[in-house]
Parts: sequence; structure tokens; C-alpha cells
Amino acid sequence: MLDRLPLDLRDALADLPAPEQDALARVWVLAEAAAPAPPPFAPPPVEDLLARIRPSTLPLAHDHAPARRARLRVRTWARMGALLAVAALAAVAVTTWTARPSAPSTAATEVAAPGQKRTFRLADGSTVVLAGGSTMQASMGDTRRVVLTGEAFFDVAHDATRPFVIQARDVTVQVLGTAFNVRAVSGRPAEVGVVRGRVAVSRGTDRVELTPGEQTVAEAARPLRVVPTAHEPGAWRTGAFYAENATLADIAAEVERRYGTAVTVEPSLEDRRWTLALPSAPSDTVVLDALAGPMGLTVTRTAEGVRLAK
Amino acid sequence: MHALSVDDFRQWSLDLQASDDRGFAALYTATSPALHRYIHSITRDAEATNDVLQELYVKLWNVRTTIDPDRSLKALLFQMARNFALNHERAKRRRASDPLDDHAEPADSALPADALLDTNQVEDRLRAWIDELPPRRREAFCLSRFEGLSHDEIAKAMDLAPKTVNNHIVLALQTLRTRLAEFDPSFRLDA
Repeated sequence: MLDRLPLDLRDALADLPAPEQDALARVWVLAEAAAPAPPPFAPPPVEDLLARIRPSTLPLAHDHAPARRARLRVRTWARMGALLAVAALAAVAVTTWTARPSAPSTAATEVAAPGQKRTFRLADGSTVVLAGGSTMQASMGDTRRVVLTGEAFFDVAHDATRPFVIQARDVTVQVLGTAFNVRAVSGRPAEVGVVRGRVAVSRGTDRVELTPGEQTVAEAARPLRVVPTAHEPGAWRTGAFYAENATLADIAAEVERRYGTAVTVEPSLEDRRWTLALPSAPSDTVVLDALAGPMGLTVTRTAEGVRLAK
Repeated sequence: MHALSVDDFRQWSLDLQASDDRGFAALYTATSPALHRYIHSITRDAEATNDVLQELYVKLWNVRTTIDPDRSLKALLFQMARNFALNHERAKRRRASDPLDDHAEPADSALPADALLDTNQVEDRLRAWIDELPPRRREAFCLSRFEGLSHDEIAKAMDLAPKTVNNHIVLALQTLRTRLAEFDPSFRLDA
């Protein structure tokens, strides 16, 4: 029986009488089946952990500098190729990105014109819904990278070995497996809101993690803050139109992106703020009427678009 | 952890030094279940266990360049797990003394005494008796018996003298033997 004990336990028992050593060895053997009940839940998946350590290794990995340079060169080249391909195939509505095993990465630029809404499936299985007036570059290499201007909703496929990172204005969004909305329109702070899972948003050394029901608005010269979402992030996909205490200029820009209608606002009104919550806004008319009535504005439609005035 | 060799841990130490996140992922996959059990035995709380577990590995990654492959990474992991879990418990107790936080769960959710009476299984009895050991003795015994740590590794993890670890484990076995003998006379010393 004693030979079933670990060596250091055998040493610890050596001074005891032989019968007691045997009895304790029997207890040891019996106890094998008496391990405490395991916790009724599993450890978090390894990708959660990797997502938390990778931001520190991505942009500043001095130890991998040669490899990184090489990869960047390939990516730049690949992106130029993709741009040429997009130019040549401008009539094709959806471009698919196929990652060839031999290629370190593939890159493509996608544009949704004002008034358009486009849905893509990326080579890794992730889905992106690109809002009107938005541009996105995706490169599906060792790290899945997206550079976004405008707004998009992401439903990201799990892949423990390849982080998914979005650059949106001055913030970096690190995806921890999840569905969420990113808004990075010019002139406005970047906004990220989460529907499912978890994402980390960073700007310089500042970093916050968002869970469902939380969003961050990356206001200039202020630390990133986590606040509750007022509306489901990405509700624009199903036709909702929300604006929270937004200036008329911003709302006009949003209408132009969403519906492709150029909206001009009388300069004296541009800074007026308004809140709109329209769960269903299938056309620009719905939004403009909801604005014009309560604010006492007139809406003039011309060949060039719409003009809002007193 | 029984199946993992000294060489495995040595290789992972080298991976960490080299900032190899795939090696780090392999280390997590191989070692997180045991550390998860260990942390849970201290916190007895699902959310806290997962938080502490992740903090531990993030910290390990942050200090990766200082890891010495010639010292036991396994002992270091258990040592960190223990310290992080105890820190968490201390922070929870501080919060509990704050009148604004009105629910402080007791760390130990003891079973009612008669919950065990309807089973004759020796293993269930043993499990209950192990649970009744003094906390540090139980901890040392479980690390030895169920996680396969050497006495030296336990000494490092729990910040004890190796001699004290020996004592804890021998005393734990003696207590269990006494309980077994009360339960089943064939376990008497002279049997």
C-alpha cells in the first residue's frame, strides 16, 4: 500500500509505526474518489483571456518588429490590390473575402453610399451590417482588423487564435466574441454599444470593458466612460432612428447618411439640440416631420434635397 | 494537474518569457481547471472565482519576463491563486462591513448535519470529513491529494514551512482514519 503514496508523503510518514503507516496509506488510497465536488461551472474560455492580454502585444511588440514590418507591407499591397479589384468590379454588390491559406491576409474596402445599408459576411464567418454613408476596410490576417468610418453593427465569429480589432476614429475596439454597434461618424465622438457578449474599447492607455446594456461615448479630452444604453445598439438596422440631445446639424448629417437625402439647415439653427426616439422611420419624411412640427420648422424640398428653416 | 510534467511547466515558463501567447493559451487550457477548483474552494462563489482566475493569468502575463524557468511555475500559479483569492475575500469582507452593502454571503456554506445521514457511501463520508478539516489543513491536503502538488510546492503556494505541510497532511490523514474507524471498525489501526 505504501508504494502508492507520493515520495514526499512516504518520507513524512517514515517516523510512524509501520501499522499506522499502512492505515494512513489506505486512507490516502480511499480518498482518491473523495475529491471535493467541482465548481458547478467551467472556467472562462481561453479567448476571453487572450483578448485581455493581446492589446498590450499588438501595436508595440518590439520583439516582433521584423515580422510585423513584413506583414504590414503585405497588407498594404493586399489592400491596394483589393482597391483595384473593387474599382474593376464596381457593379458587384457584395464582395466576399476569401482567405487563401497561402496568403497572410486579405484586405478589402467596402462602401455603403448614403441611403444604402449593406450586409456582409466576412471570411471568418462574422457578419457586418454597414450603415449608409459608411466605409470599412477589413483585413483578415492573424489579427482580424477593421477600420471603420461611419457606423456598423458587428456580429463576430468566435476564433480564439485571431483577435478581432476595430479602429474607429480615435478608439480601438477589441472584440471578446459578441454583437455590438460602433459609430464613428466625422465630427462626433466615437460610440460603442454592446448587445451580446463583451468588448474592450481603448484609446491610448485608457480602456473600458462593455457588457450588454452598456455603451461608451469617446468624448474628446475626457476619460472613456461607461454609461447605460438608452436604446438597443444597432436598432438602425431595423429602421429605428434615435438621436439623444443631438444638434440639428448632426441630425441632418445622420438623415443624409441614412436616407441619402441631402439636408441643409439654416445656420442659426445648427446648434439647436433635440432628442428623437422613432422605433420605425422607414423614410426621411418621418424623421423630418417629427423634427419640424415640435421645433416649429419649415421643411422645403428642392431638387438638391431638403432645407430646414424657421 | 497530475498528468503535467516538470518539463511541461518549464516549456511554458520559456514560452511566457518569449511572450508566446499560444504557449500561454496552452498553459491556461491545461492548468485553469485545477486553479479554478482551488480558487472556488476559497471563495465559494462562481463570479468571484472566474474574476480571480482571469486576474491571475492576466497578472502572470504582465510579469512574464520575470519568470524563472528553473523555479516551479506550478507552485507559482497556486501561490498566486491563493493570494488573489484571499485578497478578494478580504475586499469582500471590507465591503460587507459597509452598511450600504447589505448582503454578505458567508464564505462557507456548510451542509446541514443531517444532509449526509441517508447515504452510506464511504466516499461521500470522506468528502464531508475532508470538508470539516481545519481550513488550512484541508487546503494542504487537497492540493496534495487531488491536485498532485509536492509538499515543497504546497509550502511555496501556501507560504508555509515544508515541515508544516508534512504535519498538515499527516494530521489530515490521521483525522480521516479516526472518522473512518468510527464509521467502519475495519479501519482501526490494528485491523
